[in-house]
Order: sequence, then C-alpha cells, then structure tokens
Amino acid sequence: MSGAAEAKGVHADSHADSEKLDLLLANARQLLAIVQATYPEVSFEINPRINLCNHLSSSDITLLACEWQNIQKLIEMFGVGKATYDEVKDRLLAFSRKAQEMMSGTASNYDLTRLVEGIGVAAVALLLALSASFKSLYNSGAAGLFFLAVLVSYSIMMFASSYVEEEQHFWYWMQAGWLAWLFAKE
Amino acid sequence: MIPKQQEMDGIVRQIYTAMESEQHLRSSLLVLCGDHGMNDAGNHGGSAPGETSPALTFISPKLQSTFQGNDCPAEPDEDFQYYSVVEQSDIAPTLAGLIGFPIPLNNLGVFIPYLLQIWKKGRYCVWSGGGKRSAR
Repeated sequence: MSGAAEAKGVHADSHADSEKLDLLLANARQLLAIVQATYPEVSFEINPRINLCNHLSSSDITLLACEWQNIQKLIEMFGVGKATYDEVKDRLLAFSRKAQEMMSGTASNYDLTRLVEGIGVAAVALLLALSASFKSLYNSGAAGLFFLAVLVSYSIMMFASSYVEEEQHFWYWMQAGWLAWLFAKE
Repeated sequence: MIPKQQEMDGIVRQIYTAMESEQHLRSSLLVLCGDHGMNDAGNHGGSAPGETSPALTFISPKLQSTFQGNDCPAEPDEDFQYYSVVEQSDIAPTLAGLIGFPIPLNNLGVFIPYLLQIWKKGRYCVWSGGGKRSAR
C-alpha cells in the first residue's frame, strides 16, 4: 500500500483520523485558553439565550467565539458520522490560524493616534529649537557648521539599522569625541 | 559563503546516511532550520523579507513513503516564500504532536497541516515502531 492514495484521504483509516482530530482539537483548545485569558469578558460556552453569531456589528472576538461553538457542534456530528474528517479538520485549522493571528496582533498593539501626536509635538519642538539657535550657529562659522552636520548625521542614524549591536554609535561618538579633544588641546 | 553551504550539506548527508544505516537512529527526525535570515548587507535585526524568512526542513528516511516531494531547487522569489509558509511558533506544537507530549502553555503555534499526512495507521507506527510496520 503506497502512501499516495492514503495521503489523499481516499481510504482514510478512521483510527488515524480521530487521532489527527484529537491533536488539532488539543491545539485549538490550547490557543482558546490564551484567547480566553486575554478576553475574560467574552464567554465561549454555548449559551442558548445569547446567539453570538447574529450580531451584525460583531467584533473579531465574538466571531471567534461563534466559530468555536460551531466547531463544537460539528465535532458532535462527526462523532455520530454526520460530518467528514476533512470538514472538521479544515474548520479546526481555520479557527486555530485566526486565533493565532489575533493573539499575535495584540502583542504589538500600538495606539497610533498617540504615536502620531507625539511625532507632531516633537517636530514642532525641533523647528522652534532650530529657529532659536539659527542666528548663533550662523555667526559661529565653521564650528557651527560642523556642529550642525554632527546633529543631522546623528538623527539620520536613529532610523532602524540592521546592525544588531548598534556599532555605528561607537564610531559616531569616537569621531565627535576625538575632534572635541583635538579642539580642547589647542 | 558557497564553501560553507557545501560543508553544511556534507554534514547533513553524513547524518542522513547514519539515520538510514544505524539501527538505533531508525526512528530519528532531523529538524534543520534557521533562527533568522539576513539582508543584502549580511546583517540581521531588521524586518526585511530576507531576514524574516528562514528555512525549516523535517528530514527523515521514514518520510519518504508518505510524501511525493517537491521540485528542487525552487524558482528564486523576491519575498523568499518557497513551498509552504508557516510561522516559527508552529514548530513547537508540531514536535509536540509528533512525539506525543502536550503543547507548551503560552505557545501561539498551529500544528503544521502538511505533516498530518504522516498518520496513516496511527501515530505509534510512525516514530516508535523501530522500522517495522504492523499490518492492519
């Protein structure tokens, strides 16, 4: 018996099928536990009085809860032979992927409005500082120009570089510090 | 770069031939993967496609009877998405499922569906049967 036909599930061995579903179900339950811990206010249990699937303005989390209830009913149907292995498998995998996506998203849940506001405030502060110092920098000649160049290159270096150890900062400070020391020596 | 890759190929070949010939290695699985890739400058730490797309392979002589295999080498792709794409956190639940221990508590991984095909006659014949298949 070669692997080809069996891999396609044509002559599926039912014992292997239920083992596979047990595995996927355990995976789904484990992800569900993490989701429930993050959203304790949403109930995932089947409650006949609350129909989570009907809300038109459902959030992602209520839709996930609705899907979980559907999966539990589907598993019962599989137990009595009214649902196929492939149906249950696909639903379980889709549920797990959705839970995974949702949970990975909450880990980087930035408040974007605040972020933009902060950047705006910082930009205004920069412009004010530049206008206040422009006159004295202009009158300082070469030294003022060098100071400005050092400032600008430092701000460019702030953007994400792929140097994990941030070694470019070392060279920056060495260069500025050495020139300052040369100047102080005079 | 190329000599290093050839050296690593040689090591994998050594391990694989040992898995095929040694009795005590018959039920072994070699998982060969990277923790990260690299960008054009040879660095990592950013989020370029080259850095966030490491390879993941499951190597064992026992897998030959289950899978038909893919074309190799694959056509170059700018986004480094070859064969099937899974999350890095999927490795833990997959190994847990294959060996039979529970999935770690806060893991956010999903079992890799491609490997479900291994279960033809129940898990016990796959990794602890020692090479002999029980007839059904």
